[in-house]
Amino acid sequence: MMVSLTKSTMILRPGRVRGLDNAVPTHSASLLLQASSNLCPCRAVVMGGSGSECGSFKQPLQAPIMNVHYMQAIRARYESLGYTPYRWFEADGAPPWQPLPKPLAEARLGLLSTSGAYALGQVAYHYKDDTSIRALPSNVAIEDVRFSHITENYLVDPKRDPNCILPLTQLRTLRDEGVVGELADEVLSCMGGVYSQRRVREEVAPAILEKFKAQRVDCALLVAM
Amino acid sequence: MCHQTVCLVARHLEAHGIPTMCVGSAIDIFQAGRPPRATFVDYPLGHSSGKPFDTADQLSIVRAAVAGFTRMTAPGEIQVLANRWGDDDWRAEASSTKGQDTRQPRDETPQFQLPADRSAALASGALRE
Repeated sequence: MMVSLTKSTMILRPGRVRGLDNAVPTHSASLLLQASSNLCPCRAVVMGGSGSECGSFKQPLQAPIMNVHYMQAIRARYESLGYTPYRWFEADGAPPWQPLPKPLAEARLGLLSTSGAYALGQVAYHYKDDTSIRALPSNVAIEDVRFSHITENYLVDPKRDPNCILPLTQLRTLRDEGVVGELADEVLSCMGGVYSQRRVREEVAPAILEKFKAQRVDCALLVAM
Repeated sequence: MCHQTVCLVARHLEAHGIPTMCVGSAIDIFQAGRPPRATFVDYPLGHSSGKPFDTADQLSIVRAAVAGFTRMTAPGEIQVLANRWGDDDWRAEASSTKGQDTRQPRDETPQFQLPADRSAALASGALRE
């Protein structure tokens, strides 16, 4: 199957991602590409099960870019420091799937940012697998948003402009435009640098679920740092 | 690490009835963690929803992400955005396998961004001495 770029959406699957770097374990993640918006038409190529490939792979519109391989780099970096190699989560099954229950323009959207955001007046996070959650009012003033996170080095720009990692202004715009129906009254944050996957599963994820259910959100945007 | 956390949280939420869209800048962690839907923006970590003070860039990312709720129809897809950071200097440092541990000491007391935040938390009653 040759796939050509058109203005319509292309969904390529099942796939192995190519053109990023073949060394990355890709499982069956597939990429969705679209030429007519800011979805990238050429950066990544999906190999179909039969060995097909996207036509853009042979004639890329831009120079190939090497994606950063964080899992490999961090594993090697910690090893060089004498730490036990970190065992990253690797899903062994297809993800669960829940279709949007209503049109986006009628949906109530929740937001979670793992950047360690808190509002002025709330308690900051600590650095040792802090699994607590903060609910910031959705109408919080941007200048009252603060951050604390074990990887403070990634927060230089968010501390200047929180929208880099907690897109409050942009979500308000999309709500005002009618793209999304409404925003939950509060946006959620946590300090996502929790190394214990057990504690993420048993503490963070259920607490987020409970909050989103109480907010009666129809869907949730999760912004990773 | 945050990307791994969102993968685990997204899978949990989705399994309990809430459709999710993850947005992030570490595509390898998304590929390993396989959230139900993901949007990849090839920026240095800390900028998953855009460049500082670049409203157009931020809006284009968030707009594409939420549009994915409608556009994406199968579990495990990752939509790759064409947004470009500008220069590629950050890649070398991000990919480095050497160097110091840049993480903060694993302290268990609240680490306020500003000293005044601590006073505000005490004043609101959220923090007790």
